[in-house]
Formats: sequence, structure tokens, C-alpha cells
Amino acid sequence: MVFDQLVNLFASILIVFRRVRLLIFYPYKTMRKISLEKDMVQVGVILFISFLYFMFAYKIRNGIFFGILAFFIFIMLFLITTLFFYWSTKRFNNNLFYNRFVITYSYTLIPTFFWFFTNAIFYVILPPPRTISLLGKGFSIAYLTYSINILVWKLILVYFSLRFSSRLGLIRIIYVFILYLLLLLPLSMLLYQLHIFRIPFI
Amino acid sequence: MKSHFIRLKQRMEEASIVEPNDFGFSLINNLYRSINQFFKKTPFIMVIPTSFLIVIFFYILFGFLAVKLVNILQNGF
Repeated sequence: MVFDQLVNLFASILIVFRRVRLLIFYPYKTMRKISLEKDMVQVGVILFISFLYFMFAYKIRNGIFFGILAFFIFIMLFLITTLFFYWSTKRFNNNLFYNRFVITYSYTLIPTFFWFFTNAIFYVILPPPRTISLLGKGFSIAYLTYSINILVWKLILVYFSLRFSSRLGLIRIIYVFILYLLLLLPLSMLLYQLHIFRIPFI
Repeated sequence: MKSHFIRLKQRMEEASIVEPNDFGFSLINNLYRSINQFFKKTPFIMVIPTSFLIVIFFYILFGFLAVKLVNILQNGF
């Protein structure tokens, strides 16, 4: 019994890593497959990876306690986000399942994780501030290019996640996403004021 | 033979879980499809050079502001 559960957990971990690679090359096809998935352990694996990031990042900056606090706030933010998308798209389509939103949206956290994790590593290797020297400019250009790429990847995954979870078209997804930003921006400001997130991990 | 048919049926069902986007004008529909195909498969082939050009353009226009933006972002985690 315990052995079966361990095997299932190991299989879910392998599936997550395989899908991370596939989401880079085939985001549409992979997200479509993920939306048909029922294995919630994969969500747990992604959230655990995020937890490891929080422990790592907050060990560098504020201490482990703040890392645990930030992780629980991130979980709340994740639930608010998925519930918002679920309720706002349910107005257009009644035949929706909340777990689809949770699974697909959890995979959109992968680009977020990549960006924040590399940012934390760069903070240790090449701590800011950057200078206007040739190396400083070169790093700035490479860093901004990398950040834009990750942002575009994130937006692609969020769009496909909403498309396959809600079955809505582009216009309605943009409409729902703008409403979400109207909720997220004041929330981000509040979290910034409370010194929890400088940029929200979502 | 039967298993192939079942797999084909599953693939067909999987491919048709969402209706295609319809904007009401064939010109916009075609434009959407031609842009969307770049994002469906290996999007980074397009995204990496485009973002690099955008950053270079941004740097030429704003200069030191690009370096300042990196300082802000590096403190953002």
C-alpha cells in the first residue's frame, strides 16, 4: 500500500519534469493534455518545488520564518487566482470543473519559478546594483532579454491554461485577464507595503 | 487494429475539446491563426530574437534606464 503510493508519487514527479520540458517546446499540446489530467499529486509536486524556492530565497534575504510565511501567502494568492478564474469564466460556461483550473494554473507557475530562482542565484553571484560599464550593460541586456522571454512564456501558458480550463475564446479570456489584473495590482501593492513580496510570486 | 482506432478516437476527442476562435471576420481569423501557430509550437524560436531586438531598441532609446530597471528587477525576488 505504502509502496504503491511511493511509486505513484515518483511517477507524478517524473511526469511533472517531463511536462516542464514539453511546455517549453509544445506549450499548446502539452497544456491540452494537462487540462484532461486528474492527478492532483502533480500540483503538490509543483507547490513543493515552489516551497523549496521560498526556503532558498528567504534564507538569502530575510530568514526561513519569512519564507514559510511568504509560502502560505503564495498559497492563498494561488487559491484566489484559480477561484477568480473559475468564478469569472463560469458566467460564460456552466460546464466547468475547478480542479482543471488548479492543475493547469499550477503548471503556469513553472516560468515564475524559473525567473525567481535564477534571480535569487544572480543576487548571490552578481549582486545589484549594476553599473554602466561594458559588462554591466551586457549583463543588463542579457537579463532583460531573459526576463521578457520568461514573461512571454508565462503569458502563453496562462492563455492556454484558461483556454483549456474554461473553453472560452481569446476575447473573453483577455476580458477576464484584465479583470484579474485589476484585482492583482492592488493586492500586489498591499503585499509590497507589508514587505512580503516585492514582485508577487504567482 | 481496434486499439489503433481507440487511440485515434481519443486523439480526435482531445483535439476538439475547445471550439476554434471566431472573431466574426475571416481576415482577423486568418491573422489570429497565423500568429497563434508561432506560440503553439517552439515559441522561443520567435520570442528570443524578438525580445533581444526589443531590449536593444529599449537600450538605444533609454540608455541608463535599462540598467536601472535591471537593478529594480534584481531586487524583486
